[in-house]
Amino acid sequence: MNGKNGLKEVAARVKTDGVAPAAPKTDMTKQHYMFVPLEANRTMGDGAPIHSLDVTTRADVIKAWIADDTPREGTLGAVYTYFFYSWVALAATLLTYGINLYVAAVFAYITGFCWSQVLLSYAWSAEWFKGKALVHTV
Amino acid sequence: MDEQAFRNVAVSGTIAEAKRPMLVMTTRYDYMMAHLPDYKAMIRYRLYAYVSFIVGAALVLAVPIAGVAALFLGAYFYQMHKLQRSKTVENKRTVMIGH
Repeated sequence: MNGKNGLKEVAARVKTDGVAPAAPKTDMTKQHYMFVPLEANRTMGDGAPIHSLDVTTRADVIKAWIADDTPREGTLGAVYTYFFYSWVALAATLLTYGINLYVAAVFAYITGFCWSQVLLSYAWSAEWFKGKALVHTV
Repeated sequence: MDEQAFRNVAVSGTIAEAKRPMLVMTTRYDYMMAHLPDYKAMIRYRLYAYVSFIVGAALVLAVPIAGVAALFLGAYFYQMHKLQRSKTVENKRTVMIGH
């Protein structure tokens, strides 16, 4: 290691035209924007400082968005959980329909509730995320 | 311009050997969907490992050939499960989430 690796390739270019080439033009309208305030001078309700750019790891992201399948959390994991529950409740509705109509009605309500949670969770954890910026290392 | 004052100033720069960018900007949805298959594979390999170990323990004395084969598959699936874990829920790559 002489600290000059790669200089040989660009030496001629540096001597002839020291001016940096113009940056390629990019269509900024197709870029996702990210709002990052330069200084956080406010705090949240619990006293924690406001960090508009949350620097975290892939493990925490996957745990929070996918692995956490707790119902009512509204994550992508909850979508899978409620999807399963809704089909179980639908099967229970069909099975109890000929036995007791009122029991079937309860399962029908549960089916509708679980399916609404599927739609809500998918809206907030998948559709809404399509417009939210994220920067990651490769 | 008095070039004598800038005689120690030269055109310089940082040369990166990597041909790919260090940071990639995308959306939360795309990043999540990029790693969802790995997470699903982790769950599948975990199930395969459990089933293979149970089947191997059940057959290792009754049908030794099948039992040993099942135990081999159990060890293989367990390693694949650990690989997928290292790619997902144990990965420490930096992610920056903006508003």
